[in-house]
Amino acid sequence: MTDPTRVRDQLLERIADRAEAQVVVTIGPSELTRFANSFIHQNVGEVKSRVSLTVASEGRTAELVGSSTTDEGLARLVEQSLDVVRISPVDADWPGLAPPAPCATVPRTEEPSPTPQQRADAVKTFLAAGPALNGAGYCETETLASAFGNSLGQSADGVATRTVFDGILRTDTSSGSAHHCSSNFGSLDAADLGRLAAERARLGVDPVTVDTGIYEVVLGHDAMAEVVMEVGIFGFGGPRVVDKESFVQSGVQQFDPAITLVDDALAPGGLNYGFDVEGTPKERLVLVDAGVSGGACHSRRTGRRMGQPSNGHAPVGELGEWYGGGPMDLTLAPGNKTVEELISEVERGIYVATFNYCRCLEPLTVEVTGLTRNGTFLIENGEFVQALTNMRFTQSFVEALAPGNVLGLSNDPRFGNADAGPGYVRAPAARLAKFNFTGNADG
Amino acid sequence: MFELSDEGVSAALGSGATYADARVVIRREQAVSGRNGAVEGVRETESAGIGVRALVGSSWGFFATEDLTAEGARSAGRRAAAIALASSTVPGPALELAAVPAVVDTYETPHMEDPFEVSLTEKAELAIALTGALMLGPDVTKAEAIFMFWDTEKWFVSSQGSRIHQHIVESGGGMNALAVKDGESQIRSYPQSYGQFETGGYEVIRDLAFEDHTGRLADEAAALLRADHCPSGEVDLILDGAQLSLQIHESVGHAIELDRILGWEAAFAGTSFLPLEELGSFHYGSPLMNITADATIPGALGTYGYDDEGTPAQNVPIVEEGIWVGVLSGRDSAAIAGVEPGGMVRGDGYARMPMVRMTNVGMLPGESSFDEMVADTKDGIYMSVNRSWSIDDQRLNFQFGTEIAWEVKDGKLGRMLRNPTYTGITPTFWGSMDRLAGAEEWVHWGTPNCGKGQPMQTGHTGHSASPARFRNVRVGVTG
Repeated sequence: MTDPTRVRDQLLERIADRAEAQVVVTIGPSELTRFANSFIHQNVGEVKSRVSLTVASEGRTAELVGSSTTDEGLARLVEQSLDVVRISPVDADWPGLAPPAPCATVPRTEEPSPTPQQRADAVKTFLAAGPALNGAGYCETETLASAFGNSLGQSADGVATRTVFDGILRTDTSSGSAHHCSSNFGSLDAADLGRLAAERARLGVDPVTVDTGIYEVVLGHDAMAEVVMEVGIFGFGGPRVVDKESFVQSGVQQFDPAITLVDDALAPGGLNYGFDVEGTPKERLVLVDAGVSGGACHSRRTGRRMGQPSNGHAPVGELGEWYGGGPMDLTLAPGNKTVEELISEVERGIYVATFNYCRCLEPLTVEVTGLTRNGTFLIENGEFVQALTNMRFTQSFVEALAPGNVLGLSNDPRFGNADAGPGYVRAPAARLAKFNFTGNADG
Repeated sequence: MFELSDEGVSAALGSGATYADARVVIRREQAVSGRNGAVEGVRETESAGIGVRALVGSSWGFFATEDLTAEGARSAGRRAAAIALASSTVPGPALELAAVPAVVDTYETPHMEDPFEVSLTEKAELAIALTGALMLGPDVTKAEAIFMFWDTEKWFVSSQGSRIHQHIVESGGGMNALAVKDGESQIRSYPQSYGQFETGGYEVIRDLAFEDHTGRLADEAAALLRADHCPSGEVDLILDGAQLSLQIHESVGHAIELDRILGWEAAFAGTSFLPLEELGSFHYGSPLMNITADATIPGALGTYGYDDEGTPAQNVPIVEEGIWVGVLSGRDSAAIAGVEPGGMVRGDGYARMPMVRMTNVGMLPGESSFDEMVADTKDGIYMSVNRSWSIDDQRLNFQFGTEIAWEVKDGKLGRMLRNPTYTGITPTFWGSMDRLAGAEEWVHWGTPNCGKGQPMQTGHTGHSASPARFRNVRVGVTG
C-alpha cells in the first residue's frame, strides 16, 4: 500500500514555492459484503486512493483531485493545478492556509484488515439467528490512512478504521433491524445483532394502522441518531449560520435541559481523524449544554465570514461537502434509564426503531418529514401491545427536543444508523412528549 | 486500455471465475461555483482505474484499483475472484446470466462544444454575474450558481468476447436565490432544484440562458416570504414538468428497478410495491400514463451506447396506457425474473460494481397543454420545482414539496402560495392523472445525484416530462 505521507511530501516538494499549497492524501482498503434474500449478492473491495491538492496564487485558488499516486500522476496533478489556478478568477474569500498547530492522534486498536471470508462468516452468523426469516444488509470494513500538509509547514496524519454491520430480518409482514458501528472488527457480535433483528421482526408481525396525530414516542437509538444529525447539521453547521439559515441562538435555552450535545472527534471510540481537511485540529465543541445552545462548527472559510477562527470543521468527505461542513462526530449525552424503563413509563404512545428517507422541509425549524421503518409499535400502559404499519411524520426536530418535551434518555448511547449513514452520531434512545404523525399506510 | 481490461479478465478466469468482465474508466469532472457575486470554488477531479467483476458459481466478487499497470489489473482480477469465492460460502440460487451478443464497438455521446475547452474564467464570470444579479433582489440573503461537467472514457471487456469503448460527455448547472425573514426561508431555483443536466457539451449551458431568469427568481423568493400558506385539503393538482420528473424518478423509476423488486436492496433503499407476478397486468396509473426507459434519447442525461455489462442501450416500454409492462434489469436480475436484459446496469466510476440504474425513465407526452389544464380547473393548485422529497421503502407512500405554487380558481392562476406540499399513494396518485401536456412542453430533465447502493453510488438519470393534472390530491401537509 502506498504511504500517504510520502505522496504528501512529494507533492509539496514538487510545488515548492511556485504557489501556496494544501495537500490531503487518503489511501487504504475498503471492502463491503452485501447480502439479501439470505445470500451474499454483492461483494466488493477496492484500494481507495484520493489525492487532493489545493493551490493558491495571486489571490486565485483551485482544487484538483486525482486518484493516481505514481510519480507521473503526481507530476501531472501539480502542473495541472498550476495551469488551472492561473486562469481561475480571484477568490476574494480565500481564508489562507492553516498555520502550524499540533493535532492529536485518535487512538486505534491495531488489527489486520478483515478478509472477505471473515465478513462472509459474520453474515452467516447473523443469518443463523433467524433461519426462517429473510435477511438483508451489509458488513463493511475500512482502514484509511490520511496525511495532510501545507506550505506553511502544518502537517498531520492518522489512520481511521471502521467496521459497520447493518442488517434486517424479515417475515412476510414485518422487519427488524440491528446496527453495529465501531473502530474495530473484533468488537462485532453478529450473533447478537441477528438475535435482536429476529426478535423485532417476530414481534412486528401482522401490523395494523392507527390514526395519525400527535403521539408520545420512544425513539430507538437509530431514530434518535437521525434527530440529532438533522439538528446538528442544520443548526450548528457553519454554512447554515453564515447564511442565516440556522435556528440557533447562542446562549439561549432552546432545548430541554436533558439535552447536551457535543461534537468531539477525539472521544474514545471515535472513527475520524484529529484534523480536518484544511489541517486544523478538530476542537471539542459543546453545541448544546443542558439545553442551552452554543456556537457553531466552522471551517476556515465560514469562520472568516463570521470573524472567528476555524474550529476544525471543514467539510469532510461526500457528506460533508453535500452539507457544506458541520458536526460529523456528534454525541448526545445519555440519560439514566434503560430503554425498557423508557417504554414502561409511556401510558399511550408509539415506539419507533428507525426512520427512513428523512428530508428537511424548513431548515430554520428543522421541520423534517420521513417514515418509520423496521419496527413501529403501539405502547399502552408501558408495554408493546400491537405492531404498527410504517407511519409518515412531519415534525420540527427542534420542537421535539424543546424544553419540557424530553421525558427521558436511555443510558446506553451508541452509533446510530442515521439517513446520512453510519458513524456520525452516538445517541441514546429517547422518550419524547410530542411527535406529529401525518400519514400512515393508507396515505 | 483494452489490454489492461484483458489482463483483469484473464486473471479472474485463471482464479476460478466462470465469467468475468473489466472496465478501465478515466473520468474527468469539473465544478465551478459562485456565491453572492464571488467565486465559491473551482475544482477538477480525475479518477482513473480498473474494476473487475468475477462470477464464481452464482456468486459475484468485484475489486477495483487505481493501479493501471498490467500487474495491477491482474491483481484486481485475482482479488475479484477471491471475493466471489468468499461470497459463494453464503450462496444464492443457481444463476446463468441472460444471454447478450458479444459486441466490438465504439460509442460517443453527441456534443458540440467541448466543455473542458471553455475557459474556467468564462464559467466563473458567469457564476459571478448570475449570483451578483440574484443578490439584487429584496430579501435575498444568499445566491448560488454551479456548473458541472464530466468527460468519461470506458474500455469494457468481457470474457464472452465484448470489447467496447465509450466516451460520454455531460454538462449542466443551476442557480438559486434564498430569501430569509422572520424565521422562515424561501428558495427559487432555475432550471430546477440542483439544476439541469444533459449529455452534451457547453452548448447545454448556453442554451439554458441563465441570465434571463435572475430577476424573476429573486423577486419570487422575496414574494414567497409574504405569500399565503398552501391550504390543507384535497384539490386538483397541476404539476410542472420539473416536479413531474421528480415524481417519475421516485415513484416509478426506483419502483421498477428489478433488483429492488427481487429484494436485493431490501435493507437499505428498500423494496418495491410492484408484484413481479403482475407484470403485464398491474394497473399503475390512468390510461394517459405511458412510460418508457429509453437510453437512446439524444441529449438526455441517461443516454449511452452500452451499459456496463456490454448490453446495448434500448428503449424499453415500462407502462403502457396505465398498465405496468416493463422493468429496469441487468443480465443476472433479468435471468432470475425471466425477462429480456434491458441494458440498464451501470457503475459509478471504475471503483463501483455495476448495478441496475435508471436510464431515461420518462413519460411520453399527452395531448393537452398547461394553459388548457389551468383553464379547465375550477379549484386547484399549481406546484412548480421540487424542494423536498420523501418516499417509503416500497415507493408507495410519498410526500413531496415544491418551491412555489399558485392557486387555480375558476380556470385562472391566482395568488402565490408558499410551502406547498402534497402526499399520496403511488398507484392511486397516478390513477388520478386526467390531463397531460403535449410534446411542445416536453423536456428531458436530468438528475445528476441519484443515490443507490452500498457503497453509495451516484447515478445520472433522465426523466422526460410535461405538465400534468391530478384529481383530488391531499395538499398542505404540515407539522
